[in-house]
Amino acid sequence: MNNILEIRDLHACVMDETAENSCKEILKGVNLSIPAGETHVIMGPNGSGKSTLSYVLSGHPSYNVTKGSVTFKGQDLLALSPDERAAAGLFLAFQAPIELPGVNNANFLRTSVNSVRKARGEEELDPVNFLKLVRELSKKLSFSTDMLKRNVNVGFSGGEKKRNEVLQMTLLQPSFAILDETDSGLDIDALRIVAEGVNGLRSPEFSSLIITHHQRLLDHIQPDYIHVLAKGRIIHTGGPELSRQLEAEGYGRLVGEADA
Amino acid sequence: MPNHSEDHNLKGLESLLSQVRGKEMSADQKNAVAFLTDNGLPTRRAEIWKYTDLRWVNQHVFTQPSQVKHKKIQTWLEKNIFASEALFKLPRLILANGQIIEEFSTFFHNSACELELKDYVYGNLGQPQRDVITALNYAMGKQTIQLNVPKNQHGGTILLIHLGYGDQSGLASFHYRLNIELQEQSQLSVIEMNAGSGEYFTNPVCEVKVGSGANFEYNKLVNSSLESFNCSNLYVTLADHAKYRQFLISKGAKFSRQEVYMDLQGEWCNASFQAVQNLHDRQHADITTVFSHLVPHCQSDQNVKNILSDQSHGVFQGKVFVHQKAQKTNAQQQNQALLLSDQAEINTKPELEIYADDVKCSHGATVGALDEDQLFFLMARGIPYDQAREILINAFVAQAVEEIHDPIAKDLFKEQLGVEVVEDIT
Repeated sequence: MNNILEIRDLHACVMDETAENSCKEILKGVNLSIPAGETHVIMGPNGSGKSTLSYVLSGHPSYNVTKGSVTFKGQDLLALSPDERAAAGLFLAFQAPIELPGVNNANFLRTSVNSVRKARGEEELDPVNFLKLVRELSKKLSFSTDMLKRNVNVGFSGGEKKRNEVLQMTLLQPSFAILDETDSGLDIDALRIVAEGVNGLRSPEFSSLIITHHQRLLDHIQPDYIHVLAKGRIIHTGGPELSRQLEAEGYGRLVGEADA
Repeated sequence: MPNHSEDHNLKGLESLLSQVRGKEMSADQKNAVAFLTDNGLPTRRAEIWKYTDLRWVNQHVFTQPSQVKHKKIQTWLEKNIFASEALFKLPRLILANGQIIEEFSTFFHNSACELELKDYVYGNLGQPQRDVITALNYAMGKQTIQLNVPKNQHGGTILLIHLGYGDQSGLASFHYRLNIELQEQSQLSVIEMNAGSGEYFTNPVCEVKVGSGANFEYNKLVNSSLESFNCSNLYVTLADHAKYRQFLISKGAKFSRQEVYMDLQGEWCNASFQAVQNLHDRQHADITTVFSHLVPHCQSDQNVKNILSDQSHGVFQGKVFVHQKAQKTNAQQQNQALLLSDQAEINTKPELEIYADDVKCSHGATVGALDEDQLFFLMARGIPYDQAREILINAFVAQAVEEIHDPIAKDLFKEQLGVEVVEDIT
């Protein structure tokens, strides 16, 4: 079996900040296998646990795994810290990219790339080589070099933030990327650029999990499978045609069948 | 049982004042000693001392400062000043245990700034009976360092270094007075460094008069011995169109209290006060300011950042007073605290007292830990926890340090705060 990611009966809850020691269960037994080289999509109603799944996979401290396992490239993913997961090849493109006032974008990108390279036993990039690389990639992403001089995501438009995420993804060369609604709020050109970013990484060694509400990103990125996540479980899996069917019908029927 | 035979061994404030009692005193000195004798030390019941406790004064036996071996000073200078070409070139005035060390001071020969030394303490702004810190300086001080920058002159950047070395016999104390006067349209930038080792008490009082259209920048680093105590008062007056910029880093000293009294006396003057308190262990550091807008059209800006680890305690009390006449005042004050430990503590008390009706005044205070989402974001990009934390702490202070105009001071302070000198690699 050549699954890059294997999720078994995953249960997870989110810490409730308003009440002490209270954890609200969001994921209620997720099973998902993603073979190397494939692109999978997760769709589902609001509040079904899509973003929770992406945070749990990347190790956000506000989420607790209460049951189940996640195996990533043969190792126990849940035992790794977020930075170790990144070094192992996992990448999360944030739905709402975080702003870092006072942190220069170019320096952040270089620190990130070199941390990952160091952890992977690769040689770190000096400023000159790094800049060469980042300039080249920025050009492809229509990412103005002015954005490298600014603080990370501060004052960036929605589209610029998402492009910055794709730039980070491209620089870090992950073997598995989760794109959490990266298409939301993007105009047509930005959407195409994001899709090109993902397609540029596609290879037999690269897999991705795309969380989306819309068909339009899937017009640019051809998925292998589409899963429907509802009430914390995957209730249905289908081929690429499923997204159009869902767009026409909505989730009502599938959720109803799962409940029955 | 107390040993009555040792009653003559005085402690605390009395042991300090006994060093001058019975000697010939100036009128100011007499007033100061009388004030201290009558009033003693303020307790935390006094509003302005609510968060900072002077009880330690009475737990020590004060002694006269000892002479510092020149070798010791030289070693410090070699490591901290001579190693940097930029700092080495600056005209410098070196004090060790409160005494000017001429051998290492180059100030006398090559500065547009005039130096005058008086063997008594004098001043115009803080009076001997004003408060305990100023009174102590008048009572105990032996010397006044007066710096003057004549009209239209550029005094450049000068380096003022105060080294303190404690010894075992008791708590040595240093009470020097520094008066700086900038005549109209003149300029001066002062970098002050405080460092040392062992247990001692420094009690400097500084007066700064910035004349009409003059421009003064004062970058002060408190990196004194971690066993030392520091109480320092600063009085500033600004004439019309004067510009005052201060950056203060407080990272040394076991106990530190920095009071700043800024009187904006001339129209269209501008005062900026930026500070970073970076504390560890059980350090206590207090910044107390009173900015008085006395005339129209002036601007002031205060920004105090605290980074508090372990069981450290930061205090910021900032008052902005706007006189009835001071219309069109623009005063801003901000205090931010980053608590890096559950046991660290910050007390912040912003105060506005406004009697004019056409003014813009604001104040704000934020207290918090590092942002969990920001930490997670950095780690999700492969950056290990400790480094991610460093990046965020760095970001918290980096913006403040960018405000320093003097490039030499900016580099020095970045280094002192461990702010990574971020070169523009683009």
